[in-house]
Amino acid sequence: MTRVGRRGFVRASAAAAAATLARPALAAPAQDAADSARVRRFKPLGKTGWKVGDVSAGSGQRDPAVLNYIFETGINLIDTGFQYAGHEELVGKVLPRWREKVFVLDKWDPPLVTATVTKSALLEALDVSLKRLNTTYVDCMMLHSIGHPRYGGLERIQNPAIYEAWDEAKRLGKVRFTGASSHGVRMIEDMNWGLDNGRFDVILIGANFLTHGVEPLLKKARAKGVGTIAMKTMTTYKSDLNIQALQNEQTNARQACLKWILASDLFDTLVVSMPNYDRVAEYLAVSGTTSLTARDERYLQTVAAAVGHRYCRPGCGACHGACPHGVPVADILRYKMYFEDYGEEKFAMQRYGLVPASTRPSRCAGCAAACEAACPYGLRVRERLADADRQLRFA
Amino acid sequence: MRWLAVGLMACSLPAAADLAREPGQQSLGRGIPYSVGRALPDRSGDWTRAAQIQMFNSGDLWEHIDGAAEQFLTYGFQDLATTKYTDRTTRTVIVAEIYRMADAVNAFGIYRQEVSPKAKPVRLGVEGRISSNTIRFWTAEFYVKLTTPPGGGRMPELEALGAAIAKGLGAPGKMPAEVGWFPSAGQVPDSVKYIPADALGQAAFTKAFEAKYENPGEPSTALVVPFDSDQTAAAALARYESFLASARGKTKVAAPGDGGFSATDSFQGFILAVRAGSRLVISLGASDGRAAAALLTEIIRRLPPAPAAPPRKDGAS
Repeated sequence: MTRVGRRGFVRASAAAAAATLARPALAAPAQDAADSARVRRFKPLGKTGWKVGDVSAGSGQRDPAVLNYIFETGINLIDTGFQYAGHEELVGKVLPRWREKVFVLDKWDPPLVTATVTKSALLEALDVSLKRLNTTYVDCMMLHSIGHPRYGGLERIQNPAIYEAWDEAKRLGKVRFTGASSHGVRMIEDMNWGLDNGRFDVILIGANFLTHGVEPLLKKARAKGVGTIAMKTMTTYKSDLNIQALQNEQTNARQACLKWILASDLFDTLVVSMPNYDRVAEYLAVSGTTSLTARDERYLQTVAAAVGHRYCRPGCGACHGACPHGVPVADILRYKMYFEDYGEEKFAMQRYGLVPASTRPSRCAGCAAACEAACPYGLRVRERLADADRQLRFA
Repeated sequence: MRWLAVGLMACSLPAAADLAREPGQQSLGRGIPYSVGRALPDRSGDWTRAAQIQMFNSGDLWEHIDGAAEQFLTYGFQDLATTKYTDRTTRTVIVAEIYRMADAVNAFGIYRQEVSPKAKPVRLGVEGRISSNTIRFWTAEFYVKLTTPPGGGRMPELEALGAAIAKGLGAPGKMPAEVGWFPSAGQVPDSVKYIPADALGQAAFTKAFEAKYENPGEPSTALVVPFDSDQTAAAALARYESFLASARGKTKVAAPGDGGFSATDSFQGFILAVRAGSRLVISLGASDGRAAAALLTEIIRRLPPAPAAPPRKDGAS
């Protein structure tokens, strides 16, 4: 099959999909459907020397032919990891054809990387991944899911064995660059530590149009020449974009979410799951975007209206210190997030137990709620604090 | 994720669900399949359960396996019960995971997707394999994984724990009937897989089965993709043909089945795709047209009449 044939097909299917959409909410065709299936913009990936396409591939493929096609479109970064069941092996089936043209971003298994893991265990795991990937080197080896309480605290990534393993792997030519990925609650703190200590060449972070709190981190990365990649671009951590108000406009809404990242000068590229040819076409249709249209903004507003009021953005902290009664609002909301979203109920309850009774949300009754005034996103903070108190206290 | 603070006593009591909550912990308002948690024994030989049983559902599986979660969801993941066992003397840890999938076909599917064909077969559940530090098996609608750190060793004890868990999960059931659609002559052993979505990268190809062939010395793949009706299958075949518009040597064929087309793709090699009623039957990479046609003819002969029942509930999109 020739490249032209497949491209012609996906163009036609993107156009057909757009034509068949009913548009009761925000009438518009899928954007830039014609001539869509190719990367149209490349950017330097930090100081790595790699010119990366603005749209990159996450996992999700089952068929090596899809991955081969992805690379044919000009996508030149693939995000994989030990933990992505079977994905390293799938990449390995295609990679020999594309090895010099594709930047492979791999990650160690998150539970492997602990405060006590040894250099030899990490190097051994790297060799397993290289074998699966059918290559002698990866372009970037990452720590997977830093800032996630399940896998440990900051001490986890302060383990010197990690950096000894990276140095050794670089010396052996098995790794070119290093970095970390995160969409956890301590993403900003742990990423900052890595950047401040010069440990990362590339960072992969959960970011979307609702996560404005990550901007200082990204600016710091930019200033240090660290490559920046966005993931979870269409989710607010785990809330899928299945929004009733959008009805048949999901494609346009997904594209608007991607465009928000593409229009930002803080990201070098984004990674998005591409399980089939239709999705490749849909996502590449917005490659080259440098600004948002009014229509994009309306889609994002629709999504924000559906999920924004319950989405406490990582790294924001605007409510910190706003309470006249000294209630540690940001801390308690974070414990609530540990409890609800990260499954760390026991940990969350223990931490909450350390909050003095005098500064717990029992003080919120009759308060004018300066915390809500401070929240730039209009979260119903008092209500959430009351919920947190019910969830977290041992009563 | 939810904690199941299942104590030694609570495990054996009918009202374990009520006793399982920690003091002060509120009802979570969701049905939690405590029976799955009960399949994780408190002891197995020298191994003692060293942690509470944790439950994850489709909304928070990310917390446990992050990047792998998406694939499990495609296979109709329902919930997961997991815990750890330790040996008092060596302090070695076993992580035990029981994934409850939508049905047995999906349990088979995720098992075959994850297991290495190089791992050694083990008599657990319907099918299981053991590698240097992991046992995987599937039984009924459950996929079970037991893992020790690399070099953890003590496989017989790991196998004994697997047997105890399998027993707790009830009757194992049997291999999906679809496996029998693919003739064994030339088939790579245990290569039949269930692909719930995006088979061949086609969004419309869902709930497919595929098998690998090595016949003779030429690797090829055969797929069966079911559709709701003959018409839907015909439309999907036409769309697939359009997708391959620029492949070389495209030719219409009248048989096997209701006919279709053949073509040669630069990546997949020789393709023969035909319709048999409401199913598409496809061969990829065969050395020649005659070999592909013979294989598809045999597969079509083995296909039972298409079910009139509603599509299987498996969570595939």
